[in-house]
Amino acid sequence: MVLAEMPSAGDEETGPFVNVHVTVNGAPRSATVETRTLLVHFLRENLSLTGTHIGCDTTNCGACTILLDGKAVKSCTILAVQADGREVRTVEGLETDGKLHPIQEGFIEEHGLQCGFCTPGMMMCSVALLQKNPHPTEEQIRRAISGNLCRCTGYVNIVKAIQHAANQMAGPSGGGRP
Amino acid sequence: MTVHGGVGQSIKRKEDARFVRGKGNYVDDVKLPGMLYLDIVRSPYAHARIRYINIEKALKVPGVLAVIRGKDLEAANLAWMPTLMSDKQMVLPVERVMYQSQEVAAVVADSRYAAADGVAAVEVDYEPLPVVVDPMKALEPGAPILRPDRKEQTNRIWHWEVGDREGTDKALKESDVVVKENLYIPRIHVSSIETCGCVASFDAMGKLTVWMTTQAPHAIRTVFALVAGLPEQKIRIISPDIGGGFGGKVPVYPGYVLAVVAALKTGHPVKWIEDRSENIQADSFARDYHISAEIGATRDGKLTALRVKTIADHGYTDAAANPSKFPAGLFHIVTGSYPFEKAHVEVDGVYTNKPPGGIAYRCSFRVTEAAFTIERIVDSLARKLGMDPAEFRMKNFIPPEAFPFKSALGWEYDSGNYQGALRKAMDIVDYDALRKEQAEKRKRGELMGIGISSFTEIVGAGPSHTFDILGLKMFDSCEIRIHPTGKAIARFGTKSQGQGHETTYAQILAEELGISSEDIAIEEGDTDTAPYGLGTYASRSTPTAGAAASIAARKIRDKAQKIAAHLLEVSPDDLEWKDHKFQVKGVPDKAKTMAEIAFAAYTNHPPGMEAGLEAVDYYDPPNLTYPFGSYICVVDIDKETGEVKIRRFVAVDDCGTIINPMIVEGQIHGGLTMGLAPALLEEIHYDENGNILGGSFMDYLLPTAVETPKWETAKTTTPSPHHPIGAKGVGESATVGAPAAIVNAVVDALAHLGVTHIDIPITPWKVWKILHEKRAA
Amino acid sequence: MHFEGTFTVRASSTRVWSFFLSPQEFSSAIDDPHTIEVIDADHFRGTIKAGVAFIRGTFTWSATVKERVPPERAQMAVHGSGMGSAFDIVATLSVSESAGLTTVKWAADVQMSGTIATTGARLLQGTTEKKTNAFFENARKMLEGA
Repeated sequence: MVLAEMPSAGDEETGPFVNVHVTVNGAPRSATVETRTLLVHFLRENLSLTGTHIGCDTTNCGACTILLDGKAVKSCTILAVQADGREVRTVEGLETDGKLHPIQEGFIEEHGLQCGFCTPGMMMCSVALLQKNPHPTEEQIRRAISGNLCRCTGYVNIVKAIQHAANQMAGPSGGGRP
Repeated sequence: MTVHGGVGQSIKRKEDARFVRGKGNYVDDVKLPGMLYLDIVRSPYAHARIRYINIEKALKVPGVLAVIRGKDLEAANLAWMPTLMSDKQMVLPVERVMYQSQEVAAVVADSRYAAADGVAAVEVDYEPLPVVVDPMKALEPGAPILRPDRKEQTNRIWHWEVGDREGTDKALKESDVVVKENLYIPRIHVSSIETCGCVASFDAMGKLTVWMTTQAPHAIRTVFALVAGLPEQKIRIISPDIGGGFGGKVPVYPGYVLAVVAALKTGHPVKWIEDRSENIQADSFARDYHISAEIGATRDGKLTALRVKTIADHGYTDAAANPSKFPAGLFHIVTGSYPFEKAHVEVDGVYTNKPPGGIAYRCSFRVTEAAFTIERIVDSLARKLGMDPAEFRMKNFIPPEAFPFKSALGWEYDSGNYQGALRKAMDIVDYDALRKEQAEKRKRGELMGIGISSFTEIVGAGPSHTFDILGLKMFDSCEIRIHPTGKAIARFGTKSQGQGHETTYAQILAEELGISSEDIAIEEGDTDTAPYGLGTYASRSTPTAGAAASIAARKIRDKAQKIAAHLLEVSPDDLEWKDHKFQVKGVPDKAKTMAEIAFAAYTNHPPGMEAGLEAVDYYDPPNLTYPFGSYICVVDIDKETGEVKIRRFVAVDDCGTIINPMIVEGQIHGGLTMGLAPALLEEIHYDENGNILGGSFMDYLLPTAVETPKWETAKTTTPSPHHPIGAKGVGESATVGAPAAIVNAVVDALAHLGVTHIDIPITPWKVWKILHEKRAA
Repeated sequence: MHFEGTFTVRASSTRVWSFFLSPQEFSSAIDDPHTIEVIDADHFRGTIKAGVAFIRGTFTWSATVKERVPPERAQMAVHGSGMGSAFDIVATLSVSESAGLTTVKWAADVQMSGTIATTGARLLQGTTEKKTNAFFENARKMLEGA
């Protein structure tokens, strides 16, 4: 099959811009963006939520991990339009009413971070894990965060941080914290 | 009275509060009104002449405001800039590109996406030229001369040597046993999770502020002033939160200069943040050393001499960030933990069509290469002599009484207890039981290996008589100011990229001043306010700036003592600093705390004395420091797949006085993981066309939580005699010591098949091939 | 990378020859969307939307007929660039006929540089081989069908 001309760059139906409405950390947010805008750029630049970071360009590092309808996803590989009408939770939404989430406390207590750049993605991935599996083994933890690269910590204390959070959340005082 | 957060306490980190909330302030978080974005056109060819660069289409792309080419920079004398080793590198080429992914042109646009569109629309026509990727071939007569701008028409950059050549040759000839190994340490890339970038902005009065991912903000400011001709007081470099450095954020990359030029040209702030692929393909690499080492011993296992020859592949220009007198860094620590009487090292730097650099991967200026060489070849020698590698090391270590020890290559090691560290590691891992287990497994045809690495590190660059970078001496600094209410602020010339300085420096000061570490604010990275320093890399912060902190604090104590004497109406000589306060000797109830003294410094200071309570110290270290350790690695090899599994890894480190044990342990975990990475996973090669193989995270494999074992750490403590608090620094020790332990373990597992060395990374494929060839599988 | 192959087609060597040396005809055997412009008998250029795996984009290309010995032999050089990549192909063709069956021996030397060669390295050999084979297979079908 031969096409004599190149297909045009813009999509005639929706145009190059689109209005995106997303519930972010419980609040309705919206912006008009190019259709090709990645969710991570939407969050960082349009919504000024810079806690989610970009660490690579091949979906390998996981620094951009957020929760989309409760599921851990890499926001660099999702278009903002794909999040339209859905719920997003970022690191900025972990703390509630001035109280840190057990995962945040765990990372501080167990020295699970050094430069802090992979940390938001690492914590969001951990939150998703603990929601699915409140009592993960060490092997399960390591497998769950294998999509999140860290260069500083060597992972030992990250595993401890997640275990710390698991104990907190499963315990009498923590119980049921989402 | 113990002070809260003093030295030796594992207090939680202050910096964590903002990081866990996602409130860090990294360079890509900086957002200024009217900010533009810069993206870079890069060469697909490793060596080519540029016929033309057509920017018409790019300028028509919606959102694109400007395109910068080499000829634009040439007019401002900015097409070339000096490297930290006084070579020169291109900001943008005018005639030729010299490595794949080299910056060729820059596009400035009003959005990140428009800038990328602009880059895709720039048309460059290249005439490919012959590519040189093999440094051996580069040295052959007839090889294309890559740098016709140099005086000598050769691809050899420099030749450097140290030691006694004749004496070493003779000693080796006379040795009963000599072992030779060729070790190739391939190119790797540090790939901190945050890539490099900057935001450059000129204010209305022409003052330039650059937020930059840099480990050495002051040095950068001075270099900018000299290169760009901007007055230094009108340049402000702000290194905010940095997502990992490890040496990769020391060099001046073309992107920084382009952002400054773009900011000047457009009158708007300009942000440049590189992609990961750009980071791996163009930024400073590490290693790429072709080493040939020979070691000699007497029949009964006493080391005699060491000879090392190295070809150093530097890419198209020498842009390594070494101290200027040492083009091969501190590689001549290669005599390691052993008292060789004769040694000789020579290194030849070579140009190739690859990105420039050389020391950016937590390596302490080529110490990783040195430690790997000596610990690998010592193992080979032990095996040839039929001696157990632990026993061989114990027999040969520099004994504790010999310190300070002058090595055959000119270093004076401050202190060490190598036997103690190895003994401890062997006890923790139960070495004898492991050897028994290995013997039994071997009978059953199972492959198990035990590897040791007993390394000596060399950090804390460095004394002004020997060390400088581009002429800037390598002191470092601390400036302290204590407020009337007894709180303090201290600023440093270093720059943390995750090492926890906000916490650890406060601990040093808490200990020296008797002020809670909670009440001491630590700042680094803003050249407008921080005292001049050479930055953080090569594990130098604790040895230099940590020392400056102690000395500055003691200067404050000197003044505080006089104020306390005034308040207590005694003579200063009647007072002693005890329990973190000034007490009248023999009358402990008559005392003044630093808080009380601080208040008095502003409200009731002695007549004739200046008010206030502050001090600054620029510390010129008298020597380097020598952390050390012994690591033992136990591996099991899967015969079917060749996969190497680290069953146990015990790391005994000695970094002298430990400021925060929790943080030190974290540094070791991270360092070990960056030692595992090159040993088993990471490598960057170039095909014969100069295409980089391993140019993205798809192919360049960083260890994840699955490959990384549960590191076991322990310590011995042998303080540095010349450091004010006996601390040596530890940031890179584990990266330096770990690779040899892992490789020694794998070789040990396969030694009975005749294997003496395997070049890293030891992939399952390499092991499988060996097993297949030896038909052991 | 070097690829080569042979195929036979039920068509005359003259017909086969003219197919490969006619830009409109041979380009119809290329699966990827493309445009083509004839500058003169020996020079053509255009664009092509192609790539390796997810590295897809538009490349500009130009081709030169380096040698023509009708109806036996031809050699063409193609240079393309785009998407931070570049490619160079030298393709040779030799055609011989015997009893109504024409045998075409072809060879292609392909050099890639840039993103496609680095990020796509693992897939490059396979994808290029697939595309080259597909091109000649399409050509064969068209020659026999027409």
